[in-house]
Amino acid sequence: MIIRNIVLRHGRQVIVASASPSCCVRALSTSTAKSATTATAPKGPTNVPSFFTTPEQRAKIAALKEQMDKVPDNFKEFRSIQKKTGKIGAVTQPRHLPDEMLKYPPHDATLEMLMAAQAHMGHNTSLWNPANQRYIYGVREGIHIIALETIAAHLRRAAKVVEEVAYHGGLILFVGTRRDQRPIVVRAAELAGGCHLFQNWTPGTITNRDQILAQGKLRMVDELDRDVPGFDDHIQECRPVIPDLVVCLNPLENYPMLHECGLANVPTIGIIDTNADPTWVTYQIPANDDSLRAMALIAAVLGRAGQRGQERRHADAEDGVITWETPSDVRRFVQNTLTAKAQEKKDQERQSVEQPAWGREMVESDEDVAKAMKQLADEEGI
Amino acid sequence: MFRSRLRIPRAPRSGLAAPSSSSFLQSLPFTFSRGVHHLPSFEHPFNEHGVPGLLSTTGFHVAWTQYQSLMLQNLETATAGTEWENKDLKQIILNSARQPESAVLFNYASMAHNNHFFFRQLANKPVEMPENLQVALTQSFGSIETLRNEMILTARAMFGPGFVWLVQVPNPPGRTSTFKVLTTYHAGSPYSGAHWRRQSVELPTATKDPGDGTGLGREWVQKSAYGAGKKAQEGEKRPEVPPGGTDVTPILCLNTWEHVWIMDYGIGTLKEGGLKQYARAWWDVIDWVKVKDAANLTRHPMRV
Repeated sequence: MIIRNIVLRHGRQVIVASASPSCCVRALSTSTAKSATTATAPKGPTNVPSFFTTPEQRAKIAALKEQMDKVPDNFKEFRSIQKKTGKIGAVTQPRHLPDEMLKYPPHDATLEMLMAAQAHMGHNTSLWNPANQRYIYGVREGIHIIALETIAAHLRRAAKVVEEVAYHGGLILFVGTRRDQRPIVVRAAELAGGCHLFQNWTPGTITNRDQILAQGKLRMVDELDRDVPGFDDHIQECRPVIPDLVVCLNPLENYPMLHECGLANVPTIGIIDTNADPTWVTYQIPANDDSLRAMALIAAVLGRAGQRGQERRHADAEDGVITWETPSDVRRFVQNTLTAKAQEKKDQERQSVEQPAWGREMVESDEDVAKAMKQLADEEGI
Repeated sequence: MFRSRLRIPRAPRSGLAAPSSSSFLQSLPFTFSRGVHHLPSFEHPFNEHGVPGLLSTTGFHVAWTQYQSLMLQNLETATAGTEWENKDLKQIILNSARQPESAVLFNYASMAHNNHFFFRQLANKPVEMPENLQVALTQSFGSIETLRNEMILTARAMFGPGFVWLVQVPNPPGRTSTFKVLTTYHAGSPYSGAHWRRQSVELPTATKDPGDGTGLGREWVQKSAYGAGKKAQEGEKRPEVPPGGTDVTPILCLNTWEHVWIMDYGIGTLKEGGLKQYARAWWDVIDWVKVKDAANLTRHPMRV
């Protein structure tokens, strides 16, 4: 069971505590606001009024305009020449650059890409976990070789899981605690709109979250991820959030985290090398966890899947289709607040009906008194 | 930045022989390591039959396969680990033309570019010149025969190795297109972006001033001044460049380096053989359709 995160993703019934003054001002204002920061269009030669320039200046402007008019055609021709002659001399096929996966993350990994990233290289045959034998293709040079088709199939399954969790408004956590995995997890989390962790997982971050995550800030957002005001009370009182899906790049070094995820019913995706335990995670991706290039490739594919899920979710939200439900505690808070406000209003009405206007000391504000005095003065003709 | 490490140690690379029938060529050591710049291929089967009417199989192998591979390997060695490692050849040419310290990069890149340009315009069988190209060239040179003679005699007159180019220049008002013949010595480049390394004249023979040897130096200083924003003064002629465009478009070239023709034509004598015969044979194997495509005849011409 996936535990809903504690953010309000409410449809059209958004509770707003008070109308902000700027709304009222904008609604009442009839003047068209002219922003001071709008850049005025640069005045070309045609806009120069004639009485500001001498004949010589006008001739110069006309000559300049004539020159500038030639530029688009000339430039188009220049570009076509560049295109034709740019590739003469050699067929240039750049080698792999390590930052390539971060800058241009692919949506899918082909078998060639996985092999080039050395994702098929397992550990020495004596170090294997026999539970992984279904992923292994064979032995070469004393190491187990993970089948490329298996890697691709499992990666695509994991990508589907990530995409659908993101589509249904889930919070995805990318974990990679090895030093050089930092930029990889950060980029993947950025793409998927999730969170990243590249330092050690503090044991108890899920099971003892009330203490460990007490400092963390929370946001209340609606279906388009916009902040919703009026939930400060709830945010202060509610429990810290746990992720809906955890993607781990090195499960062998993160057993406490994976164990806690299991206790809290959080599904996990993990890169399972030939010496790792496949039962530690929910969705295995058999691959070489010691190859940074392979980690970058797999994380990029999963990040892109998360990005696709987020985009689909936003697109549906704009059409009015909300793909998730408000969590139960938020719903409870909303219900209690509504009930309390209704009760308050009822009490006020009852009070105003029961008490007579005369024979009782009425505590009024200074402004009301002043207003009443003025009204009286106008009526009296003073 | 991060690097990945392989678990399996790679086997040491060994030299492989070149795929050719000649035993002499087989004995030359070649290492086919995976590089960035790869040898381009042609649509015609030059590898098997050479260039019919111009170069034999061996001659083509020396002039293209071996020489171009060498240029590209040298370029890779020179650019390995630098910012130019994965860049296209033309980018390297334009960016290294001005600095003397990057002359190595320029030489190899420009030579590879020019050599490929030469071989690209060659055909398997005789190709007739398209009508519009014929009209345009006749307008510039008077007749095609004149152009042929001009290019062959220019090649003959060049003492050192280089290239003879047919280039298109921007049109003065009232004309449809203009062409001219240009020479570049060694690895000189005809492109206006690399004008610092045009090398259109041989250094010892170019004297603008009598005796004091500052002819080319003055030209260099003037170019720098124009680059820095100096306006053309009275009497000084600055080449007209079309705004937003370029002033030179190469469309055809002849490679006069000796290694291209020496195996098939020999040194020759005053009357026959050698470079003269090679240049005459070259005229008959030009692919004029490709030349027409490189030229701008049908599209809107660049206006100065």
